[in-house]
Amino acid sequence: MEWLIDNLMLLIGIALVALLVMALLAPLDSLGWWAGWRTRKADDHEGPQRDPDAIQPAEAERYVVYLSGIGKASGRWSFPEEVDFIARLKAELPDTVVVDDVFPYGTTFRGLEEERFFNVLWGFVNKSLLRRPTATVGWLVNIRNLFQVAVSVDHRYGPFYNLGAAESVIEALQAHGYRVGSGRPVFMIGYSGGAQVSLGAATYLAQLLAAPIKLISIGGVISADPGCVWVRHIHYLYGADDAMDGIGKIAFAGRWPMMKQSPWNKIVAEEKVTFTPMGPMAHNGPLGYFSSEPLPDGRPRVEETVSVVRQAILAGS
Amino acid sequence: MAEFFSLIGSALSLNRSALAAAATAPGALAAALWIAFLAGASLMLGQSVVLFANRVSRRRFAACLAVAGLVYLAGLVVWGVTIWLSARIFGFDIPVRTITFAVGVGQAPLLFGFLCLLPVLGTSLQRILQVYSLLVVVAALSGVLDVRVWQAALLTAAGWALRAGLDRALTRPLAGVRTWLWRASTGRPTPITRADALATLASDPRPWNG
Repeated sequence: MEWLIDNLMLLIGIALVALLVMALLAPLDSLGWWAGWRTRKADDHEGPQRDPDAIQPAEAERYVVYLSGIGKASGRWSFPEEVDFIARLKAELPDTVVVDDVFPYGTTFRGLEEERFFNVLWGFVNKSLLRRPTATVGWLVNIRNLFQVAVSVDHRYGPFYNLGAAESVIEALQAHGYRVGSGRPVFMIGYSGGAQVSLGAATYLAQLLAAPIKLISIGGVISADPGCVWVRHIHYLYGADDAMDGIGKIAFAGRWPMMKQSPWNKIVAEEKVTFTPMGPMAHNGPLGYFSSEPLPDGRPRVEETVSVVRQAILAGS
Repeated sequence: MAEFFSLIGSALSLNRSALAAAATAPGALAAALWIAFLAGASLMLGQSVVLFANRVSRRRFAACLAVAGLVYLAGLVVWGVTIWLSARIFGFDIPVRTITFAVGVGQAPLLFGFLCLLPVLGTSLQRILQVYSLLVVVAALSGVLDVRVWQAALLTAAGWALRAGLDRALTRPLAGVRTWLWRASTGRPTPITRADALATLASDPRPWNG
């Protein structure tokens, strides 16, 4: 203990330097991909296999892509509460394909187990979270992915990062039977930082798919991204106890009411954003949007979230 | 090496007397020029999105940083000369060498230019470092010339204005040199902006693959 106190400043210093390094490296994955220094991993989505000679199955009525929050460690597995949310959503939406295996926080890989920088560390973190989703090391993932959201927001890096995210979404959609050019609407559900990545990717999704893109933001921390211009409509779900919602409103100048000409405030003025209060819901945890803890009316929180998302999707179809 | 870091420390702490003393030490000018070169390369690293956007290869990337350092250094030498000219106009007779030392050592804050890579904060940080650098130049000039801070600031501003005018006048004549430098260092044709690079995507889906 004494040793710890003696070296506290040193440890804080090391932690700060580690944070700085992590932040400095954050843009390099997407920039390296654009520059041709890195290539994307081969597509291994769990969907109908794409065989050019096979008869293509009929397209679903609608396609929904779920991008998780900054706690997401891999596109190959999800936290139990999100698995429950997606299962309920699928049950509520017949003839709908729900894609939930996109990793929004990496351009050239689908999970931290493939991260190039400090691969051993991230492999360990991924395994720890797989064994126990509430493991403390999850904070490392939060911090890493927070920097990726910052890259998505940054006007210098965002165009490349968001293009990479759009590419990931298109790959996943195609693996699940979506035909590019069919014009089928795509509903992006973005939770927390996933909402920002969804909005950023919307710029390219709308153009590359030539289809309407609608965003359902669940506790989304989103900036006044240029994607606002390309998204057809935003359903903005926010809980009364969601502190992150307030942070998003303050941290991004483009969302301040005084910035009348920002893309966000323009679409708000055009009534392209539907604000939906979710009652006493927190950003995450036992009182979060995907929790099974009951609301004052006795229904599980996740049930209310699924109900609102379902209505938003059916209303926009 | 210890003197080199000590010089950087004096610059970062705006220590006029230490800078004045360092200016007369042997190898002072070379140290200041190294600081300026490294600052230019570091700043380029911080702004390297332009290299990535133009798909510069890994091998060329390092060469681009070195060229950026040299170009930055050349720009500072020009600035030193314009400050010297301004000083002459104001009646000071100071060796160009001394002024170049002050301008070079003034770039010490920009040794941290690589931090401009930081997402979201990078752009603001760049401005802060540039203002900080300007303050060090003024402090260094004030120290090495033994003049008041406002006089040093006036000389710096006059030199800067002269340099800006020169830049504008030489933009066209030097356009060919710039293009040649870009091609030689990056191996790419004319530089494209992020908007140029990404605008093509709307009309041609997935041109980036393969």
